[in-house]
Amino acid sequence: MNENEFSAPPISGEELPSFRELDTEPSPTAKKAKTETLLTQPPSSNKKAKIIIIVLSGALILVLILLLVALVGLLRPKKTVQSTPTPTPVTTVSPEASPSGLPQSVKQRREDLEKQVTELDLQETDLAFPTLDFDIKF
Amino acid sequence: MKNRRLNIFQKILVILLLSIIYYPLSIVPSFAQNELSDYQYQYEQYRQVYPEFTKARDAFLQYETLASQQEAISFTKKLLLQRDQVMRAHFLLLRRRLNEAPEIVSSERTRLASSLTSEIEWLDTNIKDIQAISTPTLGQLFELSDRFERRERSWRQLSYEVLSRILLGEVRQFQAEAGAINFLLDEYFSRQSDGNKTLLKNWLDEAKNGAYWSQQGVGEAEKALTEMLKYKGEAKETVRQFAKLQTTLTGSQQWLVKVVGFQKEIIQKVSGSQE
Repeated sequence: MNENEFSAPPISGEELPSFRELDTEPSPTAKKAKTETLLTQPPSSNKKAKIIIIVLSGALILVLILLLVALVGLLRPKKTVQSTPTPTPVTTVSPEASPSGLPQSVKQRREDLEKQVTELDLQETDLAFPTLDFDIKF
Repeated sequence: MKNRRLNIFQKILVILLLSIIYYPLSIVPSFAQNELSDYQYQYEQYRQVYPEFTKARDAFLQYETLASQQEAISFTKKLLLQRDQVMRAHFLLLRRRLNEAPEIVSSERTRLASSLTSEIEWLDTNIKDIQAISTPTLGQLFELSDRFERRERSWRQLSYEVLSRILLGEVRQFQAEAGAINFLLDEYFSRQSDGNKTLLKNWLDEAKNGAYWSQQGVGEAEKALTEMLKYKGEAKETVRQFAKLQTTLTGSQQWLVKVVGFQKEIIQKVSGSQE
């Protein structure tokens, strides 16, 4: 009796999946980790956006810092270093009398002295001992 | 715009700093002037009170009533207070001038300033004692007056000594300056040829001679001071010796006037020959 292996009618409505070896089912923990990993990892497009945001933020902060530095530098008094050429030697007039003439300081001192001597008040009436009654009795 | 704002701030800061520096300096001369003004004011008040006192005193001596006695007590107390104020202001002024006077030996200055301070403090106490008596008797007032009058000679000596030292210091200062100018002129002539310096050197010798006699005058004035101190404030001799000191110093001053006159001639001659 040879039965036709195809004689049995298919299950109605649905096609039975062809027989194949099923993949071994992953263990629950591995599966969970994988699931979590799958959940935490953003999709690649979001990642890019965030990187751009971070870069732009960093650039903005850098620009702000540079602006602050520039403002502080402007407000601080500028120390300009003036480069001067090597000074040429200058002959200074000696305070002592020189062969060519008397220094002006001697003339000025003499004039000042003359004024002070003529204005000297040797009476000093303001400082005189006051005339008071030293015998108040009656 | 920012540079302009900074300059304005800097200007404001400079003005503030100058004000901070200038203000204390401006106070110093006004203190000395205040002491003189105070002394003149107190003295003037004394001059106004004194006739009122003499009137009240004479009225009491004439009528000897209770009312006249009370009047005399009131004006006596007022006069005693004012007399103390005058002496106090006088010593304050002397102390200020002593501290500012030049050419006074440091130890002398300290000694005299200390003496003046002691007397000022004594007068402060005496003033408080007089004020503390609300209804004094004439006897009490006379006792307080005696305390003041007992110090008359020592005060007179102190006052005249301080004044003498101030005057001596001022003349010495000018002598030193005249001597320094003579020295500079001498140095100048030492570099000149013989033909130019004979006449000018003669004038310089006259200037040196005048400076010498001025110094001699100061020496005589110092002797007069030493002599004055021997009389320990006795009125007549103290005033006499002080007058001698003033006369001698006036002579020194006149010599200094001649010295600067010779120096002026020399400088004019030198300046004229250079032109």
